[in-house]
Amino acid sequence: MAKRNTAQAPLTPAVLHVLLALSTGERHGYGIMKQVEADSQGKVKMGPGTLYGSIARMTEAGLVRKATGGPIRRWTTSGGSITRSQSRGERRWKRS
Amino acid sequence: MATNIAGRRYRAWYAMLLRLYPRPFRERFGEGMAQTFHDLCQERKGAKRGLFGLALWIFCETLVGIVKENTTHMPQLGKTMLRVALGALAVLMVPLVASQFVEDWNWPVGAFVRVYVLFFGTGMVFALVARRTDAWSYKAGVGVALVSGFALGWSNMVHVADSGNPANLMYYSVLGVGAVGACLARLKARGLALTLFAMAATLALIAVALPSGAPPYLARNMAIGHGVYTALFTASGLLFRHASLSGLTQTPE
Repeated sequence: MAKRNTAQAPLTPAVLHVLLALSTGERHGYGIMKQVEADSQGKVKMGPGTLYGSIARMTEAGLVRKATGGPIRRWTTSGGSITRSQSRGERRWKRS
Repeated sequence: MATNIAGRRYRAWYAMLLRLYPRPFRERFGEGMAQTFHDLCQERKGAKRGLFGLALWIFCETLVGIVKENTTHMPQLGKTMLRVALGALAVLMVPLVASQFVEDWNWPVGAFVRVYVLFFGTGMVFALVARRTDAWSYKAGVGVALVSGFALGWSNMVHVADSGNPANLMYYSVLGVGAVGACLARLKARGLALTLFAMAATLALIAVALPSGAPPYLARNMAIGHGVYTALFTASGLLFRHASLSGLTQTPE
């Protein structure tokens, strides 16, 4: 079976949380973790290993990119929105 | 003050841990990860809470990420071998820890190495055979057959060593039937079902024919053991039969 393009594949929970955190603005690593925690009302706690592993795959898939400017490395979405399939409830990223 | 020293120490250790990531990943994200860890430590310090729990969690979580990143570009066989090797190590912990508490359990280091090789070998056989198909019954059949065969070989080895009765070596013929049958069947579900039924029949035959000469209480335990192994081999055969009948088994081209 051909491997599915990462950008077309259903979003994993970690990727979904990161995208949601970045949907309200660009953030650095710690900021994303705190936003994920706030969005999930403390239910999801993401460590640096999961966060940066997800960011690595998301940059490869073109979902996020480094924000320009500023002394601290920040991340932002590359433009798009999360869609949810009606049939299976899978969430995917749709580029704008 | 103590928290500052602990914080510096944990950050130094974390920086060392990050060196285990593949170089391209480390160069892209290492600095950000170290900064994030620093920020988390500062947050804890601000809340006047200890750093040990946080550091332990982050270290474990990062270690999982390190394994994941290092295996991402590994060929599938390499990943399978790594997983089986780690799994075998986890299972080896059982006799390793138990030997510390049970009297007269004094295995030399070589024995642990041999046991590890056995665990690893069994795990690899399962991984390589089970990935031939997606049928759950085939995978379960392989698992039950291997675990039962491994347990039979193991218990028989221990029994022969304890009793010194060479007649018990006959039990290895059950495993021989399995090995020959699996080769002849070329790992196809139908053939494996017949092989497992043959193994169960061979074991039942040995149980009836072999005079144990054991005292009654031991003979009862042996009868239970024979019954359990026979049932397990039969169950495995039925699982293979189910896989064969459902027609889900696909052999690689």
